[in-house]
Amino acid sequence: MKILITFITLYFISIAAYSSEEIPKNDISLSDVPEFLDNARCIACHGMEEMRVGPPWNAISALYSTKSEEQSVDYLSHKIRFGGGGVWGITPMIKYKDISTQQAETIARWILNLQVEK
Amino acid sequence: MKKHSACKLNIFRCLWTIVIFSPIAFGISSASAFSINGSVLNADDGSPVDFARVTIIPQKVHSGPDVITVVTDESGKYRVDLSGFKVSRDMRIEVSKIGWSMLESVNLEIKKNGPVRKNLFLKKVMNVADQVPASAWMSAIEESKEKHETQLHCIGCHQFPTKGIIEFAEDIETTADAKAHQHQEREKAWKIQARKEAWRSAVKYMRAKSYDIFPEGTEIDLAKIPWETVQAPEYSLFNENDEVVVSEFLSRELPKDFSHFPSDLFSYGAPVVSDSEIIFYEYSLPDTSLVREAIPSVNTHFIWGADIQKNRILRLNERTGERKWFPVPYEGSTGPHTIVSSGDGDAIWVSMLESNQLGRFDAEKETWKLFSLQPNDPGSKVFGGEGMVHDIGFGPGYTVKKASDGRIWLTLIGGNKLAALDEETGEVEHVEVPKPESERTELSTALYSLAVNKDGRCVWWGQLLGYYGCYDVEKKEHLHLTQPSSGSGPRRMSIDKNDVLWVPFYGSGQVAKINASNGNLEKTYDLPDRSSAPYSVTWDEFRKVLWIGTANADVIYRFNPKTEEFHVVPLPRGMGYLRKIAIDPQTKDLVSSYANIPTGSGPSMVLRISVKDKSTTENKK
Repeated sequence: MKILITFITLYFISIAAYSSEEIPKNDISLSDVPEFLDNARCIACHGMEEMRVGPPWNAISALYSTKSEEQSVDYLSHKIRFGGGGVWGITPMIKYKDISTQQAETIARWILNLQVEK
Repeated sequence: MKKHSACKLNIFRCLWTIVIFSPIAFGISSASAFSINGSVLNADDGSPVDFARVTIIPQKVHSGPDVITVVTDESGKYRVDLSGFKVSRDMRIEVSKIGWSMLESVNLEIKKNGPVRKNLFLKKVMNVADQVPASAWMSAIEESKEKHETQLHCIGCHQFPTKGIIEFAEDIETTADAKAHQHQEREKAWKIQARKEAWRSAVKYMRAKSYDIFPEGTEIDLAKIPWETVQAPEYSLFNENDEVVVSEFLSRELPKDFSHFPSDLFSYGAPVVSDSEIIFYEYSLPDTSLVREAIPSVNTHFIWGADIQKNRILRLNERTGERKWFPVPYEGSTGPHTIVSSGDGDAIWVSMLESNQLGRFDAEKETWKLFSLQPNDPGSKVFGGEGMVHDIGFGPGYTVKKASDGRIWLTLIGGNKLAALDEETGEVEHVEVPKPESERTELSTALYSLAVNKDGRCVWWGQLLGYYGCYDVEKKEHLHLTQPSSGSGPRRMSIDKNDVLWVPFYGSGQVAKINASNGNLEKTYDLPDRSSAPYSVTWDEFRKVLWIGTANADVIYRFNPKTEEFHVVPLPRGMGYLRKIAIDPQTKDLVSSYANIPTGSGPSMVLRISVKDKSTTENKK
């Protein structure tokens, strides 16, 4: 009930909206990626196992880890920054141009590594 | 005399002081030094351009506003008076008007005192897709209940469509094209289905994004909550019906191509204000601040603002430019939201959304007194409790007005209750408010706006998607309950001195005129732009007009009830997301702030708008 009351209220007040969405500007390492995905709100569309608005990271990993790593990192990092549709259904991914090339490439590597780690 | 003698005794020290502190030494004009005037002309044929906005941005500001914008008159002439402000002599000038563009930006260095003449040039453009406010894309769509519902939901948190939404809409089309079937009929059907699916996904995304409205450190964190809970309609901003209505409307009606908006198709829907000289004074605030509401002091040269992001209030000294912040003395987040002055100006009242409190700030002593709206649980620091205050009862003039029982009345948005506060004792009484029967019961009952009528007996309240009505504080009963259509969405109301209650309808772009004595709806006026999202109305007793602040159109409307005419005041910049407007009783200026939602996407500024009747101004000259 508390969560509901709060939602009802804050929806219309829209307080402090999106303050937690700020994307850090610094380079990131593979171990930084999970926290980065939380902070950049990638989790609003993607989960590890479940289909949310977009495909789960495990599924992306399974699809692209069979291809050339260099090409997959290029493709996925480009998709992260510039969005677009084509592979997983009609809903296009939104753009995240505030994510740097280095950050996007590290995220792409992290996704591909999910399959390797299995 | 004493000062003069001291200088004589130590002339070197005095000279040194003059050199150090002289504004001239730093290229800063001393006060009352210069003005800029000229004409804005059509670059093609030299004809004057009326109602263009001329914006002056000094490179350094040591007192006064950071940006000044004036509007050209019918003959294209403008004049910016910088006297009284200490600003650098080098400045940038920008000119804007929808349908026109500047050939090049103008940098001006003023080398002498007195008036400086500078003509400025604009060239006509045929495509204004990058210039029109968000509302222009929506207002082209025929009015319908579905449209109003969509506007109510989407503009509740941000302008619609924003640049990001436009990009998403265009991406849907290119994706649909790439996946199109060869068969024409099947392709058409598939595209319709594909658009619906994409917009349903967008609604799901917004359900998740809604968690970002909570402050840092909150337990209600998207990363910690199961996805099923995030998407559960009963915990969501969009229930199942909303999801269908919004996604079907957007897939069917939202434009598919945003690259072109012919300039001759754009219209404000009403004439621009031309009988008054309008000057905008904008004061920059930190990007990380969220001063969503600002009010003038009734007896000083201060503007006060509530910074919901940083748990503090702002006192802006308009003469010196000093921004002084006063944190709320409370352990934990408070969320200062609504800010209203007492009638005598001695106190600034602030609602605290997150700590279930009402704050009274003594403007002279600079001290706080906090009242708990959960008196049975005064130690509670529960976020989002039912004591969450939204509005503070006010009368004509937008200053706190106590009801005839001597108490301050408030809306408790979390608990669907009114609260009456005895300022002396701190005692609080809660009053339940009726809930309309609706599928969206919880959303419908969120109690929002409040205004006190002339004799102080009737406290008018409004629910976001439910009733508006009056609580008679003497009879102790609710009267005149009215439920407007579900897509209308009453917002911040105002009562004039003739006991007329004005209520803006956010979703349907209308203003209702209601007799505050008997509750009769006298008339509903369509705004010039039905997609403008009127968030607030403010009665102007000096001019006998109604000012209407819009969230989606980057304009303010002026409505004259006598002639039933609307006029438009375009704001100097986009993404204004305007909320409450207050009127300075000393200068008769309008005071507001840009809501800066989502944080950082819009300007973070306090706004003073000088509105001078031209005939009065000319008489003075």
